[in-house]
Amino acid sequence: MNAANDEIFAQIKAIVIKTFRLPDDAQVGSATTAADVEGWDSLSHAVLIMNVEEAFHTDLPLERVYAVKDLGELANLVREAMAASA
Amino acid sequence: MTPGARSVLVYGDAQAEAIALVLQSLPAVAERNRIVYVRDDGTSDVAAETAEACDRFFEQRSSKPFNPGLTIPKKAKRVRFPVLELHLLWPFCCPNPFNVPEPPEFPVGRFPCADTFIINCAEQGMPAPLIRRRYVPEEWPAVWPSLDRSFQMESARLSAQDAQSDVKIGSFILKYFRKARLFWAVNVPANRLLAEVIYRLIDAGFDETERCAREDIEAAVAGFSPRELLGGVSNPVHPLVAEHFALEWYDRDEALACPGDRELTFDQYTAELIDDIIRTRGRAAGKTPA
Repeated sequence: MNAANDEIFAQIKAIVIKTFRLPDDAQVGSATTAADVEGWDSLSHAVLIMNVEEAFHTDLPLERVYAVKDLGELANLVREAMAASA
Repeated sequence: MTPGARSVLVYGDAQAEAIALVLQSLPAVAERNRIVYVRDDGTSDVAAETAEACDRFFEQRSSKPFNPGLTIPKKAKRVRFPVLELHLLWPFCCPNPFNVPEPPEFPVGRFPCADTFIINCAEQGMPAPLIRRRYVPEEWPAVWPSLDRSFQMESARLSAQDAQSDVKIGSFILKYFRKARLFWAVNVPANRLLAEVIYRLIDAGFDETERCAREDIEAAVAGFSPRELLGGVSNPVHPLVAEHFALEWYDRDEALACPGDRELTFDQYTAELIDDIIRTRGRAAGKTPA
């Protein structure tokens, strides 16, 4: 993972912690999935995606946002969307 | 029930239980099928033989794996149906982190669902009257979540859900949610929607001779309770959300069923929720609320 991706992932991690009201030191990594986080269901997933879109000022491709398997894939999606809109 | 009746397992949450109850009450279905409900929380007491004798398996699409210890035979016809949820009308809805059971009056707590906007305001120390004013501005603030984007997100979610289900309902929800109340809360479908899902489930899962007319299913769904079958708990819709989506059925002053056998309008509900969050948040933090 390069520096830009590190930064993107760090922001996503902060958004996940805030969205799901996790403790600041929660173990959240690129392999973290919805099953690992209490309260992360399909509905709160939509809230998470909207928070991510707002933070990165980008729209993510809706046909893919419900298929991401973990936070690493979400970070990749953000990177692709940002590159496409640059 | 006729001799040699088929065994039909309906697996899932409380929505699936309601669907199983209605199927049991429909003569055209119940005469030829033994309908058995299996809870999705692993506590079901369904016997292994019952599962092994299953001819049809109606499985609510869910992240929870089927009960360990029960095996559905491969020859059983499997019909997947979706969990019925709609976030669109409650964009701030979230589990209430401060909610605690208060039996006997409030066995599931006063407000199992809360509101992220109200929680954020309370956490900033805003007094209740100020939160109430900010919660209902004249126009939807630009800094609040975009309702149009939310609609796109919900459409994508329903479409993805339908792609994994044999019973598809997403298009129906998006077509009719403005004309008719399809949900009482995010995960509480109204009778109208339950009846439609049951109609489609029967269509997908039973023979032609077992099909039922829509009106018979609607009557069966309505027959269980003077209230709606799953209408025990409602979350009032924010008036600006109702305005944005032009909800034809919306009435801000309608009193809706809430936990503890209360009936509250949108404004009463909002005022009580704000007071409750300030109170319970203070209690959770070990402080005495002002």
